[in-house]
Order: sequence, then C-alpha cells, then structure tokens
Amino acid sequence: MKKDDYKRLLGDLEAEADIEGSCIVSRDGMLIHSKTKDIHPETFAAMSATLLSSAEVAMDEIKGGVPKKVVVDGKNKKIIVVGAGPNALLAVITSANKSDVYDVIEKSAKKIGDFLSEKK
Amino acid sequence: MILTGIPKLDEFLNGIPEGKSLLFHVEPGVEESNIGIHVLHKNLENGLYGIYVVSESSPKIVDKVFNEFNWNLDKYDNLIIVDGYSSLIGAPTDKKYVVEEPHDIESYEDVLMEIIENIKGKGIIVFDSLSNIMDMCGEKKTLSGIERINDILSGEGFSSIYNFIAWPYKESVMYRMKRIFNAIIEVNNIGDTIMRQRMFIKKVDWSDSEGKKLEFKIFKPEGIRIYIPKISVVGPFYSGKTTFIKSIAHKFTPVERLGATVGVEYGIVDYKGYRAEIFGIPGQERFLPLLNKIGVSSKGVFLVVDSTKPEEFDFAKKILGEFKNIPYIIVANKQDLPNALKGDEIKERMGLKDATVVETIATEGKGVYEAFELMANRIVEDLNAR
Repeated sequence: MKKDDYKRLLGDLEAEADIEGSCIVSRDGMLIHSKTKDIHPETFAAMSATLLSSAEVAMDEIKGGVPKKVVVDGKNKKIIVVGAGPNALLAVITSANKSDVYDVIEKSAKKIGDFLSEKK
Repeated sequence: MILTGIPKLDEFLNGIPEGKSLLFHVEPGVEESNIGIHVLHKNLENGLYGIYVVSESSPKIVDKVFNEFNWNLDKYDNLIIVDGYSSLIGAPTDKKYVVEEPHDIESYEDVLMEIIENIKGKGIIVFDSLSNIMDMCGEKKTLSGIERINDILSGEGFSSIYNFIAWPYKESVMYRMKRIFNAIIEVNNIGDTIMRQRMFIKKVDWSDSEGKKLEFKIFKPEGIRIYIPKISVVGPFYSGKTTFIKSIAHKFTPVERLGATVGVEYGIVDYKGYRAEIFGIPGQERFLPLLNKIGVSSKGVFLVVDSTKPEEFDFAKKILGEFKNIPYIIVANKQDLPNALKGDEIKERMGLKDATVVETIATEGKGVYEAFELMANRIVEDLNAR
C-alpha cells in the first residue's frame, strides 16, 4: 500500500539522520505524506513547495541551473527542501549542524523520486 | 428521510427513502472505509434510531471511532449496538443484543426482528462488514438472509446501509448483490499521489444520479468531506485576494509584507460538506512564474478583481489565460467602493460574457461563501463531465 511505502521511506530517513520531521510534497504544494509532530503539515507542505519553486524561478533568472536544495537556517531549526523526482519534493525539519545530513536527505529524496516514478 | 450526511451525495440521491438499502462497495486497500458509521451518526443526530451491527471487531471499536470524531457516544440513547463478534471469540459482552450464532445468518435476523419489535420508531440499520458476515455464514445464505431482512425492514420504515469490502467473490455472488440492493456506491482509491477516495454511484433505483461521482476524504475529527485538493486565487495586485481567502478559510497562513502578498498563501475552507485547500498567488507580474509551478493541477480558479479598476482587467484576463480548461469564477470585489462596476459590466469589459461573476465585499465577508459554493459545485460538475 502506498501509505505504508511513504511511511517506510520517511522512517528510513529518520533512522539514518537526526531528523525532527519530514514531508513528501507534490511540486505544486500538496501534501502526499508527512511524519511530523506539532505542526500543520499541509501548510508546511505548501510553503516548502513555494520555497523550492521560488528558488527555481530565481535560479532560472541568473541561469544558475536547477537548485539542488533550499536551506532555511533558523535560530533553532533548519528546513531543508530537496527535489524528489520531477513531481515531488522532500521537506525536512532538523536541528543537526553536520553537513552530512544533506547527503542523507538527498539520497532519501532520490529514493522517493524513484519510488514515485515506478508508481506512475 | 434518511440522509448520508454528505450534502452533495444527499443532493444527488435525494437522501435515502424509507425502506431502501444501500451498499458501500469498497475496493480492498481503501483506508477509512467505514462510511456507514458516518451515516449512522448523522441520523442519530437527527433523532432517528440507529442500529449498528458489529461483526468484524469488538463493539469497543464503536467507542473508539466515536472518540476519533469527537462524537459523544453517551449522548445517543437512540443508538443500539448489535454484538455479532463476542460470541465468535467466546468473549463476554455487556451488550443487550447479541448474535448468539454468528455463523448463522438467521441468528442476525432474529436479533434484528427482536429490536424492531421492541422499539417504536423509524431509523437506520448499519452493518459494519457484510463481507465478514458472508465469510462467516456463507455467501449465498447471507444474501438470502439479507434479502429477507431488507424486506422486513422496508415494511417497518427502516433503511439499511452495508459496508462491503469487495474481495474477489464469485461472479454469481456479485451479480446477486447487484440485484438485491436498491443502491450501490463504489468506493475506491484515486490512483495519483494525493490521498483521496472516490465514490461512484453504480446503481440507485430511486433517483437519476447513476454514474455520478464525488471525490472525498475522511478527516479526523471533522468527518467525511468532499475534497478539493487545490483552488487557486489569482488576480491583480491589491484586488483583495488575501482578504478573500481570509474571509472564507478557517485556517489561513498569510505571507504579507507592508500590505502586499509576497509568496504563496495557503488556507483551508470547510463549508457545506466541502473541504478545499486554497492557494493564493501574488498578483504582481513579477510573481507570474509561480503560477505555472504552484497553480498547476488546480481544480478551479478564483480571479479576484478590484471592481473600481477597469484598467487592470486586461492583466487579470492575462493571468486567467495561464489556466487551461478548468472552472473559474470572477470575484468582483470591493463592491462597497464608489464607482464599483457591476458584475455584468466587468464580464463585458473583459470580453468574458459566459463567465460567472460573483460580486463581493471581502472585507465584510459579503458574497464570499456564495462564490465558494458556486466554485465547489462547478468543480464537482467538471469532475462528472470528464
């Protein structure tokens, strides 16, 4: 079942890195699946897609290519948004400061993208 | 009249007349498939008797489900639970009405007849799992029993609802099922990534709504909602898009700086059985690239215009041109200002004579729900026309 697959993919990510929450979101801002606490995941999903799409438009303006990720570095937490295939993105909440968290998130996003492509 | 509690479905069906039977034919794998319990709750609220036949799991599940939807079980002295489960596993039960022989459909009939004799009034009977009873009692025997039950119920002013998981039963069994129920609504998952389900009215012998479909989702604690994943709100700068969304949404996330929207706004609307997610896209030309990214897959578009600024109508039309083949409504906002143009004139000036225009004063909440309801109905019509 799809829901179980999404759950497993986000569970794997959480097991590998210091992650506080994560969402799989369609590129146009609709929530596909979330593993979060104490937030409104639909709003977080819509805003994450806005972050990534705004970054794409800005990068396009400067001919900078496709953005690999968007990082919002807050006082207490970070939001990391990474494309997961052509139709989805992975948005992650973390307090981790080590840069290796990016690798784990990018790998996870790739897995999600591959999974969604298989489903099509 | 029995209502399903899903306003649009009730509109299609004209409710469920007394004595009729309705089968929710649910594809395996659909989560939250117990639609019958929502119909039960609606009719308990309306003061009718509700008999709930539990055969798939312990009657305690009823407490659990009622809690999930913030329904207070103790409030309903018109609810009667028939325990068809405890005897099966030899567990004690505190329920008054118990199916002593859960492998025998006649035992179900006996209990139901006893209840009907004991109570005075009309109502609804909901079976939590017809498929489970069929597995216990045998397919053909169960269906014969259900035919007898439906016959008796129809004479007593009771309607019946059956939840049925459509495992691969024999063709002859499925054929018989199609024959014995007055209405069959198929429920299945929609095959794309956004989780939602679809109801399809496969059969109904009391209204002309066969073939109609609705997309829905079950929210906790709110209940079943006809679900619209995305409606975009667009329009020129300072036309009142944010105020419009704010006035219809029960949850709203503004992205404003110095009175102007600088990002995508998001709101949720819950109205008359609909749940819609609303995406507001800023109106300055420089934000138009976001339209293509966030606006795609919208099921409908609100084009908000300032009715006092005809000079912006061309740009408004240009924005609308970014959306192809989806329902749209022109929201003629700021009708309270002097020189506000009326809806018909706006349509004419925009060269969109067939468009639907709703005149609004978003700051006062006037006309906004009318616009939403029109849009939601238009989206359902669009779904049914495809």
